[in-house]
Amino acid sequence: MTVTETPRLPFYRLAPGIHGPLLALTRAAKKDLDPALVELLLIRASQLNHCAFCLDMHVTDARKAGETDERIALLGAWEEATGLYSPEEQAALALTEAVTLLPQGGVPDEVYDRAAAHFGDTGTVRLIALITAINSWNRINVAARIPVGASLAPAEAAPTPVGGAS
Amino acid sequence: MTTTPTPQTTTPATASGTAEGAAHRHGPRLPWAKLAPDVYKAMIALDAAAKQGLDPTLVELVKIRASQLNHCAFCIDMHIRDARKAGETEQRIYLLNAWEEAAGHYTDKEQAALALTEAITLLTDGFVPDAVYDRAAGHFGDTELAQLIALITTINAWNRFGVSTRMAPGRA
Repeated sequence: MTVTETPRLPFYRLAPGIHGPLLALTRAAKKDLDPALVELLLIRASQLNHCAFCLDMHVTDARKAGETDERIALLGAWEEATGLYSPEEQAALALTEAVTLLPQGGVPDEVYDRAAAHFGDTGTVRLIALITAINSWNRINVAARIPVGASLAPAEAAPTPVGGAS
Repeated sequence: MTTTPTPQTTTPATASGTAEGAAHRHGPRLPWAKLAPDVYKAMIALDAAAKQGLDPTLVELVKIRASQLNHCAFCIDMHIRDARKAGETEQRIYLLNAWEEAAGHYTDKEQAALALTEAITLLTDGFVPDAVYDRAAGHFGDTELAQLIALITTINAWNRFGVSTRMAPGRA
């Protein structure tokens, strides 16, 4: 697919100081987390935040990493398809939803405790950081209306890889 | 929110709630900055980059409003204190929760920024409508608008750490 759209605002060029710290946050968050789990969470948060650019990037990345189409397709209804996701993945998905839907009411003890039981204290911090990082990419990319497939790097003619939460 | 959130870890927390009768456990859940200093460092760098080129008065209004929508007690407390220190009036602080009904108290530019703050914070409710975006673009140049989006994104990020790890507001 050829990208012909232009963003509403060329955010990363206008605010060149943001991409680096956000990428650093994302990389720090991913430490010690299973890459397959990471992509599931990035897709789920991007679904909730309606970020087309981010959904496209992370579904593509998940497929490349060998994720099944079925697990990707059912992610929006993972609670009704629990046989497809491990208890650890389910705990992380529940945390992703609570942390993403913050205006609807906080992160309940049961959701937090379920994640902490699977990931431990440091793992839970990294999960929260990852969920926060993708929420940040989602906010910028939706607000600036970054087209599907665009490059996020601050320089216009930036080389690959495409930036963002990769 | 640039204060290291670790000194409050002495607050007791039990499975049945605190002596103050909170509906859920209170006190910090985990000292995230200590457990993942690389994450904290990245957040500080993001925060510093996001504030650039914006009016400090506007910055605090945006941070308070986003923190209200995300129910982050620690962040509301911090940014109301910061706003007061910077000379903000009590009335503009307490009316912020109903700013659309108190339009006379905020400039057109502030109102445009508050509307954008709400749209970007409530992303799961929809998108960032053209009307809201265009109103902001009418008051902010492209670069300033990009910084405003960065600021709103960053306070949303702090709110997520604050609520998830249950950072407690300081005592008055």
